[in-house]
Amino acid sequence: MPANTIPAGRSLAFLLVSVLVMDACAGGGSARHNTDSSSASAGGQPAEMRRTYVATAGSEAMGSEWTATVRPLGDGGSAPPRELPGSESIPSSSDAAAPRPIQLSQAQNNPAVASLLSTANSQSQAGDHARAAATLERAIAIEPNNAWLWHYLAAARLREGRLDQAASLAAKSNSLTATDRPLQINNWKLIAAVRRHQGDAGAAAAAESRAAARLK
Amino acid sequence: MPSKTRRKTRQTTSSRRRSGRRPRRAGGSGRLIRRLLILMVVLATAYVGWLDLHVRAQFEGRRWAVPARLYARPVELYPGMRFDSAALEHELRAAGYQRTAAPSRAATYVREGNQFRVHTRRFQFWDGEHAARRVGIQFRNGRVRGLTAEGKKQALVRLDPAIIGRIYPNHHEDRVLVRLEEVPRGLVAALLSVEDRDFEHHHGVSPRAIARAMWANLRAGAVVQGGSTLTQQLAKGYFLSTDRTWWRKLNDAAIALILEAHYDKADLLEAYVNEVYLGQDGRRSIHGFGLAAHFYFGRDLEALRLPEMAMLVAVVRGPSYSNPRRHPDRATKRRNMVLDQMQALGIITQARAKQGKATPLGVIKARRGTSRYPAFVDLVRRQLRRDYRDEDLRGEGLRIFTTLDLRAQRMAEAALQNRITLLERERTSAGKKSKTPLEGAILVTAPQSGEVLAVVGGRRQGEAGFNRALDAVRPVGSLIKPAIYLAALERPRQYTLASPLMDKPVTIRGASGNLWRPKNYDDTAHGRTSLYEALVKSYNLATVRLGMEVGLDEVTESLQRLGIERPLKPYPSLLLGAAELSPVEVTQMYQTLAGGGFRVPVRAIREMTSARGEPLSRYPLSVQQAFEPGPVFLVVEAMRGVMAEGTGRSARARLGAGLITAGKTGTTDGLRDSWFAGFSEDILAVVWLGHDDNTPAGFSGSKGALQVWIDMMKSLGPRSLKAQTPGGVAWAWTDLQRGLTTEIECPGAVRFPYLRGSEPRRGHCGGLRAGTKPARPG
Repeated sequence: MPANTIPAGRSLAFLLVSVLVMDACAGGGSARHNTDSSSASAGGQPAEMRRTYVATAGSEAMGSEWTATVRPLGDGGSAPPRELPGSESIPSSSDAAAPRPIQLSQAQNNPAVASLLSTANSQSQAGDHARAAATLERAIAIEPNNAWLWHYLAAARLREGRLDQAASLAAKSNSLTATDRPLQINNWKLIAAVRRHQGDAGAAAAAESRAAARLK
Repeated sequence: MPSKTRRKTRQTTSSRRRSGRRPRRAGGSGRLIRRLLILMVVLATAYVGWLDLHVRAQFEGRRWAVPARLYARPVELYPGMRFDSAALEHELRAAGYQRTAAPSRAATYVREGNQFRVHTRRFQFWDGEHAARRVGIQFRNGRVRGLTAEGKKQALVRLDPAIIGRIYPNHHEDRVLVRLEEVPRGLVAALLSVEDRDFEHHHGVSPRAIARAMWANLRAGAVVQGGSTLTQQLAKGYFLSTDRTWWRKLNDAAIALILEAHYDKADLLEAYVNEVYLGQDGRRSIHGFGLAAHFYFGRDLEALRLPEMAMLVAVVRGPSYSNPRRHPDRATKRRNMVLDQMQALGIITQARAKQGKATPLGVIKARRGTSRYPAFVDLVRRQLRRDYRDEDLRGEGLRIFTTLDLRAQRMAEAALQNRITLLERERTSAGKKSKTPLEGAILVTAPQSGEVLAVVGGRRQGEAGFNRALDAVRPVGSLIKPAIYLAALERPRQYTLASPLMDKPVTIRGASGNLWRPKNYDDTAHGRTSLYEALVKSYNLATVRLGMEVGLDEVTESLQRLGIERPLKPYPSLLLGAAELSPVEVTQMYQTLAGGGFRVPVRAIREMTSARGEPLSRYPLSVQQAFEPGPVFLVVEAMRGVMAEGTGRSARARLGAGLITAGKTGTTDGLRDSWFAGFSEDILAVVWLGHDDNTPAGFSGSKGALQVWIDMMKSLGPRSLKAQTPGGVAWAWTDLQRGLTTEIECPGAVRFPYLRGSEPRRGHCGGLRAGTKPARPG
């Protein structure tokens, strides 16, 4: 059903609580996130590439540990993307390489997505969460498999007061990444907060434990 | 004479009141007559009173409104994006941009080969206003190379969208309502001079016109003129019956007087211009000059020339008799008569009349509707009706932003039309010509967001009519199978992709005791196979066995979770797709598969603003998790196998091995229906081919629908599906023949995904043929 209304008042209090909770749990601040090597699977996967991304200023509105605007790897984004999202194909050699893990760096390589994220950030900061969500949807249209984008959309919906959707979108974000731990933790925390607010203590606890499991 | 009777009644009533004389007591019969007279008068007054209310209510209800505008999706360009100059030019033209030598005004562009300079319009999007600006776009090798705005490099540019149609959301049919100010002076002049010269002066009924008509008819010896006014003609339409009895004529006159009493000439003329019956298009009646201008000339009313306007006026008197397509000679004669009359009254000069009479009629072939995309607009209407109340949509000039992708629509239409023509030609040369034409339907959506990019309702472009994409409910055949395998793979302790299945004959006893013995497409039992292979090769026997093991209720539930809302009968034949679904329902089902188990509703509308641009409402991207990602990933892996080595493998040959897609072919009993559903990373499409009267299409899903799909994908240039292994899924080298996991080096071993912990037990290489290459890329 189309959304006609803008956030209800109660979501404001909930927003404060959830941001505080998530801030506390995730270690706060614009962090440098390092990806760890993934747990081994039966096929024997090599360690992931280490990659880092740095949060830029102005990401507070999205929640302190959520990096809203991310600088692309390399020269800071002025160069055209060296590889277009989706243009790579599955390696055809018969070697033992595992399927490549989610390349978030690809998303960051697309300045269009970065630009939309920046816009969404400003809109969110101005309290216009409906518009921020619409902007994020435009970004998702360009990179539909970018798990972080879905996560940001979940956050925007949360701020709009659409709790069920926020949780569903966070779950969708999780389904698009097997290995990005910080992202998964954020998603589980979001889901836990939603369930707690909805009074489903059982589901909230389950989500919390999933988040905790990923921390290990 | 009708008018005199009316007046007499009124006079009688009022004079009785005025005189106040008491009727003299006469004899019994005299009293009875007087009583009857009083009764008649009372009844007549009551009737007139009721008529008054009824007519006013109807008139108010038919008031014009400014139609809602439908926009296609705006093109968003970024460097590196796959888009070419031809596509851009199409979009610009569709949005009404003019090609010029220098882009000085807004809505113009300059093209020099692969370089564009576009002066965009100022445009109010749902999320804000974009100022007009000068945009530079450079293409190379089918992609956007450079992008600037006012000279500065841009990461993203959003162009203003094209208008794809105008609708009255509260009306069920196309209407083109016009305000009186929008009606050309010439048309009004022509209309009045021919149909009602005294329009400005009379009070609804014109004795002068009647007298004139009587005189003309007497002289001619036949009925050549009518004496009714425009108001009377308008009144004709206020009751449904078409009989022309004197009682009806009386009624019409009464209504005409009532109308004139309540409304001014401008209102009445405007109503007339929008109500007058001007032709028939099959079951659809053409009312109003606005719609008639489109129906006969394919243009807006304001864009008509004098002879064309005269023709429309000529048609008023007898739309069937003077049908310009059936009886062009009569239409021409009458049109010329209109021009003569205009000249006689001094409205146009003799020269102009002569010139007008010399022009050919200029009527186009019947083109239905006013939108170039009737099937898509149909979907938009339905979604509006489903999701909004009438009051929400009554606003004038609503701006509705849709999800239509003009390029995808163009490619889909072309692919369907061309391939159908090819298939029919093949059948004809093979000596098998069918009585009814081969038909088809296509739906194209974005896999993750559910936005509808294109809807093709039939083989003929731009034709309104039976919308097969939404309404052709047909058995889906093997398209149902992924739901069965999904139900199985949700039980990892019992089933994995490597689990063995027997593709052997099976007999099912139905509830009524009858026996069902399904057969494979090639009528061969393939013996021992695996879950993976049975889906990839679409083995019927193995699938039925699997489905019966898993349980019909579980399969039905799986279909419901995938998004099928139609009630399904849990009969064994369901397992081979005896269930009937429309292409849009199939799209919804495959949408959930492409979405990794997350159901996202298929939608054609993004958002709505008011005429001034205030945001009104939005369809946000909403997902609902229906399945765990793991089992869906496994099924999609098999669907990738369909395209690489299974029934869809001609895709690999024609699109190239580098493009990874997933899909499923579907063929029904007797080759009646040919289906294909498949997706890449950015495009999901469902294709159906068949005959409307259910005679067999004569070819399989692979031969028919799949080829349409491939043709379309080739022209769209989609992105490859990426392997995004969800958490909880692990890969293992597997010897599918034996259903065992093995070491990497074993020849013949292929990597398969499993829900963690469900991998089959380990085996050694022995037993495999040496030198066997892996069946698919690792």
